Amino acid sequence: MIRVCDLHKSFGDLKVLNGIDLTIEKGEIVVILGPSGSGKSTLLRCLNCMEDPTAGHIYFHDVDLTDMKVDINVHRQKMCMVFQHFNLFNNKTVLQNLTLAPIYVAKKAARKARVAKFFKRPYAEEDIRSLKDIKARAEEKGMELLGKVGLQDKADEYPSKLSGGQKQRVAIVRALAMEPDVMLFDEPTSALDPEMVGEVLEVMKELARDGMTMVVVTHEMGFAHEVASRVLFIDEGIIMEEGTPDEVFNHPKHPRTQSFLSKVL
Amino acid sequence: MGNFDRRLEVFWEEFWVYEGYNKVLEGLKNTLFIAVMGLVIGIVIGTLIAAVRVMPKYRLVPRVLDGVCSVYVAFFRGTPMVVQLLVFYYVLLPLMGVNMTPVTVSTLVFGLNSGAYISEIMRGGILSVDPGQMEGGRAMGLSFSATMMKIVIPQAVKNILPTLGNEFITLIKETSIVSFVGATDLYKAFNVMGTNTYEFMVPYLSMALIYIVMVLIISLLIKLMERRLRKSDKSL
Repeated sequence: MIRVCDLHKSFGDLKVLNGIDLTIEKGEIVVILGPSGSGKSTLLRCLNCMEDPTAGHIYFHDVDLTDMKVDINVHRQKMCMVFQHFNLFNNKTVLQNLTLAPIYVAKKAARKARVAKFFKRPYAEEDIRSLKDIKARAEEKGMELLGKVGLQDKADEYPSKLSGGQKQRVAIVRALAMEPDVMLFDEPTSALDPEMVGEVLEVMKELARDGMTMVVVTHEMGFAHEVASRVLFIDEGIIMEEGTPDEVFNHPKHPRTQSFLSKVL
Repeated sequence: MGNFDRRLEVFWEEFWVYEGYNKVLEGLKNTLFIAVMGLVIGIVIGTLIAAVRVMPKYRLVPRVLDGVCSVYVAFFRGTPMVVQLLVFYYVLLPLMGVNMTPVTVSTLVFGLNSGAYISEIMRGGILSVDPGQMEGGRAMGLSFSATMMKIVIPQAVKNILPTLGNEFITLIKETSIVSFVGATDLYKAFNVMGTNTYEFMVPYLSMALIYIVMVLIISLLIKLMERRLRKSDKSL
């Protein structure tokens, strides 16, 4: 589903990624580990081009995202990201956070289809929907998703009234509302109080059980061990070690991996 | 102040009996029209310029736009508004052969001028919004402009509302220069009354009073608006 070829990224003189090759298949749960400054977050942010790679290619559904002609926004809609600091829209209520992007996408599709219809070009009939219908369906979907994470009663609150764990759960269902093919998690529990980490990990485990393809950068070794289908250990901008959780955690081959794990486990 | 009663009488005669209030009402209308429309035009132009200036500059088009905006802001901040007004009315319009009423020209110039100032205010406001908000929008597949319009600018506006109110107050007071091109504003109306009666004390005093009352009302409205917009900010 995602194929990364010889990815390089530098910020000025600082080389962060030095040639990453990676393939992620549908349904995989890939956990990326590594010391801070190793480039793991940068790798994740390169996947959806939040950072433009310096060199190399990223293929998503066999489309090269690094090509400047590709409309990155369309692909990001299927490759949603959950951030360390949640990045919920502060000027929108919880429900509006969930419905904003789906409504935007549906409205755009409807407009395109109407133009195509006018010029007698091919279009999909189901794309032509009224704004009221688009809104109603997005809100219904939003409430259903909020119900999934037990936050239905917070639908009309603003994000500033939520706790960290609640915010992150909203951020996860906000991404889910787009019905993405892949979800990227950038240290989703690092900014949370310890007691709130559990509730967020629980939601992520449920996603994993439902078969969502996930790429997770995290420091939660327990989560990696339990849920991951593959673990990558990154340091100095390259993939040092790669394998099943059992291989990486219990039988690390690379000395760098061994020393890292001995410190964190 | 010995003959203040007489001065008041003269003013009242001019104001009421000779229907000076018509002039004052017209002046008040023009002053408010120029300031309000100037502010609206200014906000539109200022927001556009600010958005261009914070745009990522990988491609050629944003870079060219950025250059154009810099020149625009430099010109309108670098010359006094009176000069801009005079240049527009007595140089540009005749050269282009366009006919416009003084009020229209004044409104345009006020809009263009405050656009330059508001662009800087708005840019500061946009930069004050957490960059994570932009990232959150972009990561959901919203375009740069859509994220700007729906997420960043609403939050920026909330932050800059007090400064924007200040700009509006400045605009209202600055309208007193539009008589340079022959528009009747509040200043002109009272000035005419003074000239008719050779008695300036009461007209100018009343004029000052009206300006103050207007500014006070506006400050109050801004305060009310701020309170409404702060709704989403209340934390636990």
